[in-house]
Amino acid sequence: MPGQDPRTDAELVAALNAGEPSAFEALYLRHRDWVFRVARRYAPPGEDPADITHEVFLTLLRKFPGFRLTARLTTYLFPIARHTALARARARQVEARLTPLTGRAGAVSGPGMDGPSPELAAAVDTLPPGQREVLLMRAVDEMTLEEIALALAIPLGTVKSRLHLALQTLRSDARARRYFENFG
Amino acid sequence: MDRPDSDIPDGLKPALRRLDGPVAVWPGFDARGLATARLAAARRRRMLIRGASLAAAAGLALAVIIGPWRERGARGDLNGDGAVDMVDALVLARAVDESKAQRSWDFTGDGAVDRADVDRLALGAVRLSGGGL
Amino acid sequence: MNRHRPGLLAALLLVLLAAAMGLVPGRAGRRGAMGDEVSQAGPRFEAIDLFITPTGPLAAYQLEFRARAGQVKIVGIEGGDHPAYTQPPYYDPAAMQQDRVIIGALSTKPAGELPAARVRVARVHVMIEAGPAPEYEARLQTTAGPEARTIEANLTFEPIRAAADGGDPQ
Repeated sequence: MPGQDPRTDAELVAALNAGEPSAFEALYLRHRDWVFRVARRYAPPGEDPADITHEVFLTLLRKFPGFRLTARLTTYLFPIARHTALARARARQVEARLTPLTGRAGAVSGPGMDGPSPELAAAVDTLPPGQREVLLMRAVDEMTLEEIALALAIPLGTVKSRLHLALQTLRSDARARRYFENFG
Repeated sequence: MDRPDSDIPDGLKPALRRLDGPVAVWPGFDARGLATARLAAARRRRMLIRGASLAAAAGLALAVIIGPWRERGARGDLNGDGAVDMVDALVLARAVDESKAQRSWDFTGDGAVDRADVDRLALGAVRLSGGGL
Repeated sequence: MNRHRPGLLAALLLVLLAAAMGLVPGRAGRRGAMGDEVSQAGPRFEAIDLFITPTGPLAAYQLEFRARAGQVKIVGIEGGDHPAYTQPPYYDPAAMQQDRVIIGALSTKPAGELPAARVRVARVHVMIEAGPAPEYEARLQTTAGPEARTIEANLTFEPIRAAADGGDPQ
């Protein structure tokens, strides 16, 4: 894999708009894993998140030339990835829903590591989908509350309340309580 | 009600990230993705060049030939009922699902007729300032 | 019971005046779904459920909802109960902080998986500022079946207990 392109996303977007194809490759390599995670979260059974990831970047590419970056690129990539995965669920005529964390293949765990516990996964999976979605966007995708509101096209107040309710539920859940010890 | 981000305990974030699992893709995954993108970009460039030269002539021809009938239906009025609304978005969504969409339904102008065009049409229909694209 | 007692009336008026000026708490604040106290003096929140009763499988709808009285601002919109309509509907983001919105949604599911009886299609969250009690109105603009042909339907709405500070329980 080539070295990381030192340019910012905004500079790469400008370069791609100017017709430099290698800028797209740099954007792809920088955000591939992030998009893959989102795709995996929404992919319906039987759909490969890898295919969805490729489709997301193709959709992004189609926006050039002329794409204007006015927020973090992930704020644009998230709805594309979510929408692409949910569209595939619709095409398969299966219910569009968040993939559970329970039993997630490849979840990293081992002796001496502080989790992740299957209990935590089970506790998170019991959250209402809207709360779970916001929690994972904040904790795993590292999006700000404003970015989440933008990506989901919902009011900031709704994002805050969903996150707060999710944390409140987890705090009172015996399976997740230990993560809140010595916290607030 | 303005809860700070720090409401998420320090230990919970890494635990959730580990639960989410690593990203593991097969060898050649990136090569395939980037090759597909290059192909799409090349196709798009060809389309843009061809389109630019054809556009002027076609635009003139359309203006002369079908201009007088333009008022029959607004852009996005796919079922021809005189309004751009959610039924038109439904017509488009079904056509996209069944791969029967017409090229002229590319409302996003990105060279493809897909769910993004359904979203564009539907959002145009619910615009407070009046339905339409 | 109907005796008019000037002293009692004056006392009542004083209490009402004090309540209006925020000197007495009236109802001691309302506990929001978020667990915090929402002052009665400040704005309060309400959610309005929108129901459609179609005459056949409902594949698309579009409706207009507005507050015709009261100082009401729309702060959030979410989907409904039926699997075909659980996702947030389409709406103009410019409707946020206004008193009027056009909402629409569609589903390409087969007819058998679409609602064919009364169904909650959306929930609108509003913030009500001081002033007269809010009054709402909603009207259907269009409804269609899976073949994209217009179908008859009725629209009703029901205000429900406040959700929370700009939020929802999802």
